[in-house]
Amino acid sequence: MKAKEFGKKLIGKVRNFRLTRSVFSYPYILFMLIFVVTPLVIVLVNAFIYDGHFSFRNFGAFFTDSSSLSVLATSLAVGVITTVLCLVIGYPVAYILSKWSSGSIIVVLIILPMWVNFLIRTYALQNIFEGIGIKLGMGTVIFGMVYNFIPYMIMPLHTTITNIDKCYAEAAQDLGANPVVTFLKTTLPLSVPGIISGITMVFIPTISAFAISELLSKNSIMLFGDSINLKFTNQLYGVGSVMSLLMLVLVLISNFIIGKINKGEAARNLW
Amino acid sequence: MAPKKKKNVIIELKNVCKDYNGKPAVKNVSMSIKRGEFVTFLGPSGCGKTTTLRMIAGFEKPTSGTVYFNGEDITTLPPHLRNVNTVFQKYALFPHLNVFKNIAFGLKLKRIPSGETYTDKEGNKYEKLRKLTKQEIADKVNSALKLVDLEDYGHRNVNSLSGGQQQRVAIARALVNEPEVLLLDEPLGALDLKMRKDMQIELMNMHKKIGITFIYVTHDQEEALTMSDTIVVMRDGVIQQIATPQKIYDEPANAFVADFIGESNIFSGVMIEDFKVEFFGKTFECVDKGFKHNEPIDVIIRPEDIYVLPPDNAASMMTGQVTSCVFKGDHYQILALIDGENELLIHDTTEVKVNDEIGIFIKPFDLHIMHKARIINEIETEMWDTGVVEICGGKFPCKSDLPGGTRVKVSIDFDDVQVFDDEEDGIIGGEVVSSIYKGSYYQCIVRADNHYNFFVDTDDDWLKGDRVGISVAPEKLIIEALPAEENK
Repeated sequence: MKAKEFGKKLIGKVRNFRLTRSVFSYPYILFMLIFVVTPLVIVLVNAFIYDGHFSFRNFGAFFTDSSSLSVLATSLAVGVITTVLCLVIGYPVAYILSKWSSGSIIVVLIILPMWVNFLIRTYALQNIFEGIGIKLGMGTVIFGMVYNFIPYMIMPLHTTITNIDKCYAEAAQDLGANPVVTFLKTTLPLSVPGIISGITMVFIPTISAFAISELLSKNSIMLFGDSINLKFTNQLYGVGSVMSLLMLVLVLISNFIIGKINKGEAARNLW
Repeated sequence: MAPKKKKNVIIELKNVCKDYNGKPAVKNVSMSIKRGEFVTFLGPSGCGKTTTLRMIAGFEKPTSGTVYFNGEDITTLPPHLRNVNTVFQKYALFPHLNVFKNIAFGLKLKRIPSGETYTDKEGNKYEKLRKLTKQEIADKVNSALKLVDLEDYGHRNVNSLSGGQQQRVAIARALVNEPEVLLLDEPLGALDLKMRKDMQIELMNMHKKIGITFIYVTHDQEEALTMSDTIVVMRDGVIQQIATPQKIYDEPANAFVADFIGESNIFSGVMIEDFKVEFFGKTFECVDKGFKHNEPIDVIIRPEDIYVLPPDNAASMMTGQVTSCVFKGDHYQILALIDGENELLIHDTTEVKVNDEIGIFIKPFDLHIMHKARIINEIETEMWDTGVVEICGGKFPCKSDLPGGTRVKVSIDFDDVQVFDDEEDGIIGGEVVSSIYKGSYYQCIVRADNHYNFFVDTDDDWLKGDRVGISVAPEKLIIEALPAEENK
């Protein structure tokens, strides 16, 4: 009897099914549940379980291990250096390209390598370095990082600088600023949103980068991403999960700081 | 060589031309602007007025010609070294700086003589330059803010200001540098009507108070007439007339100026002899002379110069039938049909009734006679084939039996050019660049894609800027072979 009623209700529901707008989001929500929320929950649970019991011992294990902490410090340092280099190299490129009428085409050329898998590119880089006899080490790791992430710096910068109305530069010149002062006092401050998007796009992926340092330093330099990888391959799920959580917190903190500086302006940019 | 330094001339343009990708924007412009004058560049959009202003500011370099400032050639001098400041159309206030810092921008870059001198190795004496002190800058900024009535707005973010306030900040930012010339590029364009009227008066007062030269760009003829000492009317990159507002209004140099400045009646007529002009099929006395006998001309009559009389009055020169009479506050706007075909626009203070017969009187002094820009369209081209002539890249069927390749001159009367709404319907396409009502028809200028201007008389008013098709009936193409020596 009950089953029959339930069956009727179900049929009614199916009959009343309407293709509303929200229906289109169901596949995405399902995907997110399975591949984002569930793993996060697993990581969270794993971080607090030691020997089958709730415990903080995984945290203790990580924060008392000096080698793990130094890996974290190295990762942050590599992240900062890479970001600064990307900015120093990328800004002039983006600036010059924004002045050229064919600039957007060249930007596409800069982005083109991004469609090749980064592992393949990094392997290729490794072979080139070995082929021309450059010793693999910190230098090559940073080179690889910059090489991999610089398009993410150039893109938002180029978009921002191209969209700065040239009347501001003209107004500055009109008020007596020579080209250098004009750049420093108008173009540079007005491109801050692009600089911040660029930093976000480079710094956050760099601190969690994985495999690049392994390949370009012959395993001599280990970064945080590689370290997490190693923990999981050694079946140290607890510590691995703690490190993943820490990574997540770092990403959230940098996002928060960047968002504060930018007052939400980066959101209007391309990325 | 620089021209002799004329004391009261501050800016002089000599044969200045500017091309953009081969397309001329300003053609051979020459003028001189006096110190302390309020000069307005007036013209429809795309007439080259802003380009001319930008060449004075230094943002554009002339393709040829020279710009003099105080008698010195500044043609290639970059903008930051010129003693002029600009109020931009969209204000261009720096969004990352507050009102105070926007205005202080120029002052912070300024270097003034410090009073001390030093002597270099070769014995030349130089005066040492110094930056303005913080206090000096603050004083100047505050007095500039006072000048534009924004005393308490220094700390405000520029984006939080209304259009009118931004406008004032832009003016203060330019004036605080004490330029010799202030350039204003349609500064009131974005304001509403009431605000615009107020700002016009404020700008005029500022001009009087400060006494520097103002160069003002606008497409609004009323604004130009109200504010200027001198108006420069431009069209298609060419100066049409330079004169005082009164003179521009009373004695327009040609039909374009007359049509652009205020309302006017423009009719085609013929100059029979000195002091005698014929239009509407009647002969009138006038005060102009020096035209060829029977030269086709344009007659321009301002609507307020036409007097309405009873139809049987002895002074009345012609009669017309009233087709409309609209009250406009200080006058009635009357439309009257003369002989059932020519429409006359009249401004008068007495009301008349529709369908009434009225008499019309115009003083000879108020008939303005102007040379016609052109009386027939003439194009030099060559035959494409027997019976087909090439005009502006299009192949027009014609009645001529000259062989292909012959150099010919094609003449087309204004009313023989057919204009089509749909570009595809014509043999060639073009853009309507002007349309002037001439009492019973419209005279349009349609620019073909190779820049030849077709003059067209039509019954319809074509919208400026529209793409249209052009075609000509084969029998209306008057084709003459050019002399043999010109044929290769």
